[in-house]
Amino acid sequence: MTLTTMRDILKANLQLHGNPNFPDALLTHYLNIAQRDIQTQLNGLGMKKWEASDALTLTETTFNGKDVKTASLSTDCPNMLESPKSIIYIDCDYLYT
Amino acid sequence: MTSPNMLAKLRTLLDEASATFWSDTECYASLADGQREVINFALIFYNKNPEHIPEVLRPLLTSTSSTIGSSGSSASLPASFIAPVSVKYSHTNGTQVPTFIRSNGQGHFFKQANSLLQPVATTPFTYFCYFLAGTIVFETAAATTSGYTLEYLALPTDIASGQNATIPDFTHNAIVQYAYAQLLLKDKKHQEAAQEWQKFMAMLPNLIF
Repeated sequence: MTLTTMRDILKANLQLHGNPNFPDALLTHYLNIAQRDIQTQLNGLGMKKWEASDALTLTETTFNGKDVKTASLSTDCPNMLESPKSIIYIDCDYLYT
Repeated sequence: MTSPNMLAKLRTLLDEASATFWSDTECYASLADGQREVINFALIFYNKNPEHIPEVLRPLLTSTSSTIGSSGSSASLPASFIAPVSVKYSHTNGTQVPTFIRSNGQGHFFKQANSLLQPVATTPFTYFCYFLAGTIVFETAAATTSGYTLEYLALPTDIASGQNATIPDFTHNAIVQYAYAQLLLKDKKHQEAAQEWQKFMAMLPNLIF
């Protein structure tokens, strides 16, 4: 189903045709909220369409006196759902320097 | 009913078969007033629900197409304009698309400032317009020259000796009734005029469907 079709269904079901308070930009916004809600409910699991992978940039630092490496998810995985449950797996090469 | 038939019916009610006290010009002017009053009444219903044009008003449906140059955003309304029905617009004078009609109250300025309620000048286009006195204003100015099509309800042609009523036949009795009430006032028959006016008012709701 295309975005146009989804908007048309909304307009038809809610009789919004010609209503100046519901232009396309607003309907698209609502559809995006709905999509995000469904993604969050499903945590992305089993939804291959939404699967994505990103490489992490590791930075050395210390945590509680131990040497660790950290990555910024907001920078490296900008499209990741806002839940740790959305991580399917992490592939790590511990010999990598 | 043709206009001479309306005149004859009016003269029967007035009990004056040929012009003596009431001239034909006076009678036709009253019939023309009656036609406008019937339309005014129907407009109340149309304005409440613009999706449905009452049968009375359908003969008034008129369309005009024009362009706006010099990157302008407004155009003068036709002199006969009563109420808008639909608007299509293209700010590049290309394929025109349906355009939202907004009220011209204070609220439209706030809506213009809302990023989700603003016009969009890229495909798919979202255009808004609103009406001021004698003017239609588009919220997306012309790129250079824009094109629009305005469907609207136009004033009727006044009833005259060679001009039949514009609105449908089922309204003609009410028009004659209005003219009858109005012309009785010239004869200072105020009480009768008030009674006939009440009859006219009672007819009106049945004309709206």
